[in-house]
Amino acid sequence: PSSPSRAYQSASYARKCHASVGPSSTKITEAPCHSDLGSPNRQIPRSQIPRSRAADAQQPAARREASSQPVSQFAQLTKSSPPAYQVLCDKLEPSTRPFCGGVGGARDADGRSSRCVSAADDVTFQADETNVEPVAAETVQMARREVLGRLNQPRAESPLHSSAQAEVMEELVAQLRRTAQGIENSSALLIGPAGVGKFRLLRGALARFGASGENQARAECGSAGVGKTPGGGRASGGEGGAQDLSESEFISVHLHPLLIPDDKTALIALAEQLQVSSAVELSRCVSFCDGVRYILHLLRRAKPAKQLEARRESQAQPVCIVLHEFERFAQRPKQTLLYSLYDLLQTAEAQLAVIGLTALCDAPDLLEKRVRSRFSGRMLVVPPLNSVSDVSMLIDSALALPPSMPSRYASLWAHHVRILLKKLDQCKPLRLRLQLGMSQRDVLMAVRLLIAELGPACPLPSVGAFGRSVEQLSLQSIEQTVRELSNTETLLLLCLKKILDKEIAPPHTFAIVLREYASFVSEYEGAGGVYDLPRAMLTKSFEHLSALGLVAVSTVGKSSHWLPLLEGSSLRLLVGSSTLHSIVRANLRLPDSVRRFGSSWLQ
Amino acid sequence: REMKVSHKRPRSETVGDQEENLECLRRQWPGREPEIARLTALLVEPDISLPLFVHGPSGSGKSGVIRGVLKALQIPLAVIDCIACSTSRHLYESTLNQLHRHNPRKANGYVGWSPCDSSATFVAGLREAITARGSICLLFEHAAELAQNQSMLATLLALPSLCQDHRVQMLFVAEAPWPDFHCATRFAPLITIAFAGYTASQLQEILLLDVHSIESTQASAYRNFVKLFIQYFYPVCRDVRELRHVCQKVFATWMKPVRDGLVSSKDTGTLLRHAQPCLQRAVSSIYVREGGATPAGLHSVYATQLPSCSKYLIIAAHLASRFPPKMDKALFAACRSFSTRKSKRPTTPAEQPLAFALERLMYIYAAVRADVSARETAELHVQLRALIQKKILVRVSRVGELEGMRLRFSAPSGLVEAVATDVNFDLTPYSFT
Repeated sequence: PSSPSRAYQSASYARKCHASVGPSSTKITEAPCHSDLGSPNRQIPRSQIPRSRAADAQQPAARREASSQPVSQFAQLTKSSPPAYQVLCDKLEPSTRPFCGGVGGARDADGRSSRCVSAADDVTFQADETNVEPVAAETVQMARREVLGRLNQPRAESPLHSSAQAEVMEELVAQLRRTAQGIENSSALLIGPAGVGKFRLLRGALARFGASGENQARAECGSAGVGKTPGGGRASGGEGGAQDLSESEFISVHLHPLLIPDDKTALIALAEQLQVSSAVELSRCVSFCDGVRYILHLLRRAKPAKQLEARRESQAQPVCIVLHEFERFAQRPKQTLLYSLYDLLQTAEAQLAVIGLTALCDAPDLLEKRVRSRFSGRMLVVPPLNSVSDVSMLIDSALALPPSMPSRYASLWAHHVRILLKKLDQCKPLRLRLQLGMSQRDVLMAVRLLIAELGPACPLPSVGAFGRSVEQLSLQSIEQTVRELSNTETLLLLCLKKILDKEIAPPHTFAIVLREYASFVSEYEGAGGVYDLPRAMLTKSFEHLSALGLVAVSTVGKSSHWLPLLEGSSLRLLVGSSTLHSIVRANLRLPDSVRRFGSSWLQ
Repeated sequence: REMKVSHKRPRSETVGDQEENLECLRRQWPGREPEIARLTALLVEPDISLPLFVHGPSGSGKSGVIRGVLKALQIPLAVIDCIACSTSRHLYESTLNQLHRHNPRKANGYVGWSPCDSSATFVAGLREAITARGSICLLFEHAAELAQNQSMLATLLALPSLCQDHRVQMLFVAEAPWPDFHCATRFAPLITIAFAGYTASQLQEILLLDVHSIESTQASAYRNFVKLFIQYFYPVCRDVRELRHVCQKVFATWMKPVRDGLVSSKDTGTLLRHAQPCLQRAVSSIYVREGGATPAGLHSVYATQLPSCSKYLIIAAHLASRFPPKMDKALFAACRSFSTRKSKRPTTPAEQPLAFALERLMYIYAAVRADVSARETAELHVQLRALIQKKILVRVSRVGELEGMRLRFSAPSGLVEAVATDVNFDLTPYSFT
């Protein structure tokens, strides 16, 4: 069982990949998330739950109760508020009003990012408008801190799991359980896009086996001052809960390639995290492999366990080595660290699990043959968020407020969050983003942006604000950058484009661009016109284009060394034809001569 | 949690000051109100903890606004210039010195806060700084340079997770996003904030800020002039720094008849008629600085700004590129050997500059710089790198070749003469034919 056949691996991998995008995800979404994932809220004794988590535990019940009531009952709460709200709304700037001004128009005066306001927003606006009332700045501040505090919690403790990952979690836990029970030493790779929650998932899986992972993490974070819940990691989930508690807990060791440049440092980090560094003499270790064996030997001595039948010493606790950014370890020459660890898995000396985290789906291909043959080949694909319901669940748990908040504001907040979740599938930016692939981290970043925008002027979350937050996750479009250029710079871009379209043989140099520019001046402007500019000016403008990343300048040949930067360089246009065409056609600020020049050949 | 609470700033006391400072900032940077509001919203609470990438054209006020906001919010700040800190060690040590308020000076033997050559040490230093100061902010200016050092960029982007603390705020400032942004950052969490170019009305407002430097009698004339100036220059150039400079210069020319007493400053019609030829002439002088009327003047200005070892490096490179290596013994040897062989006649300097090896450049540098003990120091290599970046020296050997780096000198002769004059180095013995 320690080395399943390749066929099984590939079939399993394909099934995982399919599960991430296929129809089975719907089934996962419909499953109750808390029972599947074994949310810590249900298992930890009430006295041990910190304030915010206790609130989470109470929240679903409160929400169910609230949702069962008709909205009219809620409206009674705020019946007296409309005059106050109108006063508040009149004081606000159009851009800061929730859904007030600029429907369908630009978000700000410069028109840099157009606001996505759909019919759904209008509906929400009506709902919001009748319910919002002035809120004290301190209350909003308190709510902000509560939500941000939960988002900044150490990852294993925050109950922000997506239901789509439940299956992966179960498989990982089953794998780790085999190691904990001493059946086999396991190795696996958690593969998924950046920010999808691989580390969170692993920490969650380790937390099921006892408090060790948490204690270890607390030891790591101690100096940085990150608070942890005592005993918070001792949680078990779902069906296997009672069984898990009887199993040994894992000691987790984290190795990050950016902090560990070589094998010697890796040994020190390993000894440090296993708390045997005082007894280690690195001079005795000939190689990394020897060093790891020696450290595990010290660990067995430090924490003696019951002897096995063959009078062999066994580890009191299994060790889980977590290799962050696995591909960086694989890109190192000789892959000594990976080889030594995977080789150690094959022996009976160690009770060890080696879990790699990577965003590269072909990371195993980077392994050398000798390493690959020792690696079990298990790859667990952590899927990104697939549907709006996943996002909805994540936002729901992220935006829950504790009962310590003022009840009136908390009920208003809960109502607005409900509206937000209800209207989420009509949020156009979110749908676009989901089509591209959205990780948990993206959603939580959008939530942070949403929280950052909250204030006395806009005290409650809304769909429109969330949509704007999602828009802010994207880069500014190149079209917007081109739109802000001066006419001279636009002209130079058009000249370069014309050279490309004329299919003049490369290299396309600045001299050729200037020639094209001169032909424009003679044809459309005449000597002495506004655009009959000195060469220094044109050179500077072109350098500006290069700095903005619209033109790539690369030197070619040896002769270019003798010339100034632009003169002997080959130029490459980084702006698409359609962008330029739309600028020429739609930018009314451009003078007629430039537009005529552009539209003379651009299609 | 206790530790986190203890390091919170006493907000209630500082809220008033913050608002006042931010209001002052808005007045100082007209047209940047949305950006100031957004940055304030994202930075006011350390718990929001979103790394930011700020980009926009040069002169759009990115660094000024960010520094102003951070100062107003009283966030402990380390400013790192990615051009000046080209190596990871320099960057790490500079950051830690600033965060721990350590100033290398004579009293402490010019030693940094801690020698730091690995990311693990850097992270440990940062965690110590967070413990001491609550939250910290790292501002990386000229962040475009980081794209060339992928490993350093990866470390910097992963700092919050490496420190296991969300109170590390990072701000990257560059003119444009890194090429292949998502590949370069490996989809790291970064919020981009774009500083748009100024509109015509915003530029006008900025130029009117300079009215305080104008005589009060000419203030109204200046306001009229600025409207015309923007109308004329906005389609051509939008560089704020350049426009401010040219505006002052052209205004002085425009007001010459008033100073000469030919026209009254209240005679607006005559002045406006006079403006157009004045502005047309000014277009040709854009991006041309004082002293730059002749190339020699430019070179002398440039030469005086170089550090002394760079000046000698330029001279050494000039000599190395003009004479073949076989001439070195005759030209630069400290004591001439009396060989029985027929001494070679010095050949004429080469027409085209010759490529030369780095060791030879260092040897000639040591020979021409007799005043100090010229050793190959790190400082010398840093200056050499700077000269290569400025294209005064060009590397001709391939980048992968570590041994025997070869260079070529590509500065104009005017610059060499200006440098030689500046350091009193006599070039005449080397100009024989």
